[in-house]
Amino acid sequence: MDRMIFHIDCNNAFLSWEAAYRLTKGDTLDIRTIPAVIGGNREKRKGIVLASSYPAKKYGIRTGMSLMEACKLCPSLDINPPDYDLYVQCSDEMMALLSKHTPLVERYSIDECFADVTGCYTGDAKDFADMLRNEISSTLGFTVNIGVSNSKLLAKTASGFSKPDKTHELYSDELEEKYFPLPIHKLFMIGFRTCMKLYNLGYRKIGDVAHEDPKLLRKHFKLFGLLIWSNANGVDHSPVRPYDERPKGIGNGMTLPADAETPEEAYPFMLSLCEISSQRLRAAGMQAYTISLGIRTNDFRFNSHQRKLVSPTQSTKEIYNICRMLYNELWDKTPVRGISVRLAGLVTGGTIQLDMLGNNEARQQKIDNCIDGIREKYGDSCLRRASTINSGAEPVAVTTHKKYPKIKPNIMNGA
Amino acid sequence: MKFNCAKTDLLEAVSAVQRAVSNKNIFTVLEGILITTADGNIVLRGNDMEKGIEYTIEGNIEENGSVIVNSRIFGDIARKMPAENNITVITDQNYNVKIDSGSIHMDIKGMDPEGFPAIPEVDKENSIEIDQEFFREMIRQVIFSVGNDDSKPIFKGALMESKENSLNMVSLDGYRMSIRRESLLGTKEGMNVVVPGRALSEVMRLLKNDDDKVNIYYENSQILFDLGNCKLVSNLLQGEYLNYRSIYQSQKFDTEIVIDREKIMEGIDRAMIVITGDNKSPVSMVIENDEMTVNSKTEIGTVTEKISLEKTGLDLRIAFNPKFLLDVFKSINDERIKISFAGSDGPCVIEPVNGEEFLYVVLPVRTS
Repeated sequence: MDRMIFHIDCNNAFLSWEAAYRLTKGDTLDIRTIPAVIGGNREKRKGIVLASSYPAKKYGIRTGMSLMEACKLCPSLDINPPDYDLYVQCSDEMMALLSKHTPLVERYSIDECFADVTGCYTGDAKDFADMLRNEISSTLGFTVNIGVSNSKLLAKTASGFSKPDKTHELYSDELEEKYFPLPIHKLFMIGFRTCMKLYNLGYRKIGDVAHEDPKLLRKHFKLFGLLIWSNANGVDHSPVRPYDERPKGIGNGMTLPADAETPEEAYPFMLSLCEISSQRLRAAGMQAYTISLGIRTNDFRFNSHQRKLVSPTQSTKEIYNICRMLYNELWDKTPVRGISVRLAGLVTGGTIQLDMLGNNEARQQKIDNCIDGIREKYGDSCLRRASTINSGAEPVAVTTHKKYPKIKPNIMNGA
Repeated sequence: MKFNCAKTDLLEAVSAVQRAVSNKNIFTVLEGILITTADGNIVLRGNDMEKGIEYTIEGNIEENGSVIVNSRIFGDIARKMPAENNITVITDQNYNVKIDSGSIHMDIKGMDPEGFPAIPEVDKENSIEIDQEFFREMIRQVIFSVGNDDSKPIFKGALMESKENSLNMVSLDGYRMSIRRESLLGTKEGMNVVVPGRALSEVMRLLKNDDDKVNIYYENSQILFDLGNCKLVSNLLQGEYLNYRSIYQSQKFDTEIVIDREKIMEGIDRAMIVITGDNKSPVSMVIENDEMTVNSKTEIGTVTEKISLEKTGLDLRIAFNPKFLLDVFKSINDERIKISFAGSDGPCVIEPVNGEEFLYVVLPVRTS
């Protein structure tokens, strides 16, 4: 039996999600209907455009543009700061909704996923896709495009045909009329550089590449050339893999309010990053074997070092101590602009290697859990390590607006 | 300087001193080997500022002098010259080095020997003499548990301490500890130094498998291992070593087993088959009556094996990082060994059935 694959792509994800969320809070203005963008900071007017509304796009505003430029194009532009926690929640809700229809849902990025719906519906695939689209917009409050095909590659291509809120079909027997005439940059896996290279070699349309001798492409692009060729021919047998939702790594980073000229100036901020990362690690019930620290110097060089542990840890104190050691290894006396802490080699299981030198992981675990509990109840700033006092660093690094309530699908209904 | 020596001798000397030469250093002299001729001997020296190695070979010396040559280049030359010919080395006052071997001629640039840091002299007052083979075995049996945590620098070395007629070597990394005792007639009490693990492993490689002696001289901050034609001087680690006996002496051991070393070693090795890559699952052991059940369970599969043993005391269920146990069992030569357990949270002590030449402590893993 032929597979039936859907590619579900949120239209203007960040902006739609923000709009839907505001409507549920009681706002009357739908920012999707005015020139609006997500990105940066309204007051400081710095940062880049992460997403823009359709009215904003009419002004020539594009994703990746600096906010300064965008404001020049449209002085009345509505600027909204990003909120990743909200996006993760919206993405999760969409995944949950799709999982009700098929177990084979693969999160491809925060705002798109594949679903293998083979045998999960009766009747026409397009009708089923339309039904899903309506269900998402009526229960979650935002619109999606669905690409319908029998492979992931073609489904993804189809969902990009025309937006918003549409279903498109592209089956492997329709390549000649729907796929081959597409311009070369629409080909999956083709970035700017490869696109330029293909263009310079004289290829303009996907069909041009598809009808080429694969040996020639291999000559120009090595093994990648064969992948380009098979993609151009719409060949893709890869299965929809339900994504392993367990995190592979947890990390937090920040740009310091002022460049740190001495380690002592940087440590409080590093500590607050360790607090948030290890708090997240503990919340996930995991321990980390690898701790890595990255520092960005004020000349924008980035370097990182990591340490692998014999016994995994989830203790803020141990993670911070290791980070200090890594900082000293890394730091070349250039003022430091940004720091990031990352925990990897994550394991669940809660085994503790006992230690004879007084590193009492079990005791630290108790202390950390206690601190987490107090902070959960009374807020992150109710308990702070003495070394962060008067340093300007938050007791626990604030990454996003953590205080939004968890959105339930039924709350989103208002949109 | 002009000398001539056998290629094999030169290669042996270069390979030895290269162990104390850093390949990349901000000071180019530290990437070099110092070659000096004096008193009818050719002496090669390497020094990475933590340890220095000095190797003396014989040869025909026509003109005394000294030069620094790049360690990697000179090492490659010594390695790739034909074995049957002697090698002649000539330097001029600008430190240009000519190397000849049969019909092969090479020119390389050397450096002024003035810049080479001297290898510290060690006072000969305190000394210990031991068979090279014995000493090599001692190092092999403790080196694996030397720590590598920069935040606890003292444990990056092994403790060498002398008692009346015995020499002890101890290393621990926080999770396991190795103690090796060698009775050594004529040894005086008083040695108590911590030798960096890296220096010890180089010494281990330099030691030969024969009856030759190694003389060990030590003072406050340096130790010298004198192997005759080869000498290694290392800085000592400063600081107080842990009172290591307290880790096992105050414990109450409720379970004691005597078991075949190879059987348990192979059993753990088999249990580790399903523990791969990033998966660091422990191996659990259940000791009941006269049997131990070794068990490991991961996403890949499960392994269960029963090993017979002699038990005194209580039954026990305990889990370990299998690598820690394997390291210990691999370094022991005894056929049967005694293992004492202080409950499933306490240290586990591995000793010979009779005697006290070694004692290993491994801490278990607590599973929830």
